[in-house]
Amino acid sequence: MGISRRTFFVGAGAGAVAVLLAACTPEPAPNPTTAAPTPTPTAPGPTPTALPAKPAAFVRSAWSTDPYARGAMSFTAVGSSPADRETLSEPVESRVFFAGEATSDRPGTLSGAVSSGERVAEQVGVAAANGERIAVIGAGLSGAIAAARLRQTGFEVTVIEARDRIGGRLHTLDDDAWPVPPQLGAWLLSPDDSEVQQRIALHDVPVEALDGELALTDAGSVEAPDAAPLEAAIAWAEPRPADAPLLDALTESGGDPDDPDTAAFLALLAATTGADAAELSAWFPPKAPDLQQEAAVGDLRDFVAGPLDDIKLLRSTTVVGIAYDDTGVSLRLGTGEALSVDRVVVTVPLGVLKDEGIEFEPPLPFSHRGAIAALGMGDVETIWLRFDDVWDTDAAFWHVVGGDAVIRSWINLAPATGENILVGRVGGEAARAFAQLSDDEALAAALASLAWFLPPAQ
Amino acid sequence: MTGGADRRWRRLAALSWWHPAVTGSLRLATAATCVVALIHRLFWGLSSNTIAGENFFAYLTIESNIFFVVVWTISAFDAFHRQTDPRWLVLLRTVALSWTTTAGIVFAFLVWQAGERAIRIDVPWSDQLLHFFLPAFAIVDWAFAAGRRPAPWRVVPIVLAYPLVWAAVTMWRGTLIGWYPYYFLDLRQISGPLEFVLTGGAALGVFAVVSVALVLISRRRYARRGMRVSPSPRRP
Repeated sequence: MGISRRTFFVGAGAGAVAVLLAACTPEPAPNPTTAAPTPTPTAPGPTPTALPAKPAAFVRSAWSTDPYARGAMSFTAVGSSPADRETLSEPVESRVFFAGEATSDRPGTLSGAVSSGERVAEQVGVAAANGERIAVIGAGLSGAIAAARLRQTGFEVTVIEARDRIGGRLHTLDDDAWPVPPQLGAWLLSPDDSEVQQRIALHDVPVEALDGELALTDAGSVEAPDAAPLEAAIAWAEPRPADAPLLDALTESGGDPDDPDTAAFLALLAATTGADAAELSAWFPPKAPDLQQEAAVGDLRDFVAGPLDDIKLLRSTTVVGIAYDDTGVSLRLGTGEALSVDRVVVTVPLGVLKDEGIEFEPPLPFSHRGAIAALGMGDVETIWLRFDDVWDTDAAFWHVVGGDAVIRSWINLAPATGENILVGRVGGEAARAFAQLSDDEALAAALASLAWFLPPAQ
Repeated sequence: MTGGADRRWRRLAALSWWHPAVTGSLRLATAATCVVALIHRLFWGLSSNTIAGENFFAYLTIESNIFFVVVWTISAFDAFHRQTDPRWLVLLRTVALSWTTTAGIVFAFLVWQAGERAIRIDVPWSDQLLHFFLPAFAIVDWAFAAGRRPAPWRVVPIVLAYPLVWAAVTMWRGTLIGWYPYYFLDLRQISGPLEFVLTGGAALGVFAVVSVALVLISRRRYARRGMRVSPSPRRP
């Protein structure tokens, strides 16, 4: 293919370090190459094939502009706490129930969606009489799990989905151009997601381990930055009388968010939580990004379709209003129709609730409105690139350190799947900006982010 | 109406006056398009599993458009064969057009309301045809095609009777199956009897205004004289 080769060497510490990645300022700013961090000296190593200028195929997500998602996952914003999630999972007048990742203790994960679906089914089971008509709004993972449980219990269940597809924020693309089907939503599993892994295995979805890190600057590979500055910030905030943004805690505790190492960590944090450090609570910080993960590399749609089998499902049906009293619930649909049920399970993303995409009549109690307002909805966008050529590195997690790359966090699927696929992840404000780009601009930004993987101009 | 405007109307109307086959063919085409849209809408509802599928024949829009197809097909053949529509056909056309037009106006309002909340509503092209484009085209036909007598005022109560009966049946059926094609028929969606009367009254008001407007259009001074030109040469 006439592509020249260039040496990469995985720094000695890469892969041994928990988390890392490099970002500079969140806003694009001119960034002289001299501003790059001092690279750790690296020894000459094997030569990977440089990436071609154009991928053979690419797809990307747009959760932040999706009216039925309005974000990718919830996060615990400064001033809020896990108690807000518990509040949100409380039924309202035994008629309106909430589920979804935002109501779980594992926000933003498949496990959180599953456990919330099971929890809500139990709550409804306690409140409802046998044979009652139950509506589940949202055919995502939590809605599907809840519906299946309720159906088993003997209720008359109707699932209402606004999109013309099921799955919600679990979105496998079905496209023959991809040997590994692209996942635009949730698809990564941590070691503590073993229950979900077992469920996925039931649907014959292959799961592969992702391992190893590679952190690059313009001058070669460096050690992956560690979480120490953030840990110091969290320790600083802990005894304070009030919660503070994680970013403030970082600065106050002597950290420097502009330091390429720290910025790298913050970019990875944003790509995995959807939130920038300025938005995150220092009291209730997210779990450190996990880089010993498993990836679902097959079609995940059956994971949701399975539980929904034989359950009445209305697609392309948008609920815009929920009127409830002590005798029942009436759902108002976008087409002006109304659906009367005994109880309703609301699994719509937190972003939809925050934007008042559904009007409640009477309004939800202060406790619920307070929780919805306090919790944050984060943005993560994903871009999948498939190349014709291979590159020689066994590292699954790539980090771009320093410079002005838009996408600093990449997952290399080649070691796990043998397919030359790179998955870029971007979070927070950068994700919202990325979602606004046209496809051409997004592709250009993605490839520019990989510039250090390209051969030097001859 | 000034003389100038009158002439302009006449010139427009002449577009279809010059040959009744044009009017008849356009009406047949309209009815055929409506049939295609109804069939697409039926299969869209069934395939997307929306609630529209199983309740297809319970929608006021669908019922009135089926009636519209029948009436417009009759009036197409009428245009081929007669110079002036019989009175019963004028009555049927006014009624059909009042129902489909009102269904379109109410639907447009509801979708606009949802759009105000930044909710994207997926409206299939057949729904857009049935609610907007077909009634609009049929109104142009009503206004300009020749051969239509002035519509009688008694169409107004006839137009109003159907939605009243339909609403009563729908509300009774709603208590059984939990589905209401218009939200305000579900009493839990509204604050009380006052809002029900106001909203229902507003919807009925649209029916009344539309039918009155259609009657008035048919009674325009220059419109009364309209007679289709005979295709045969015996007419001067």
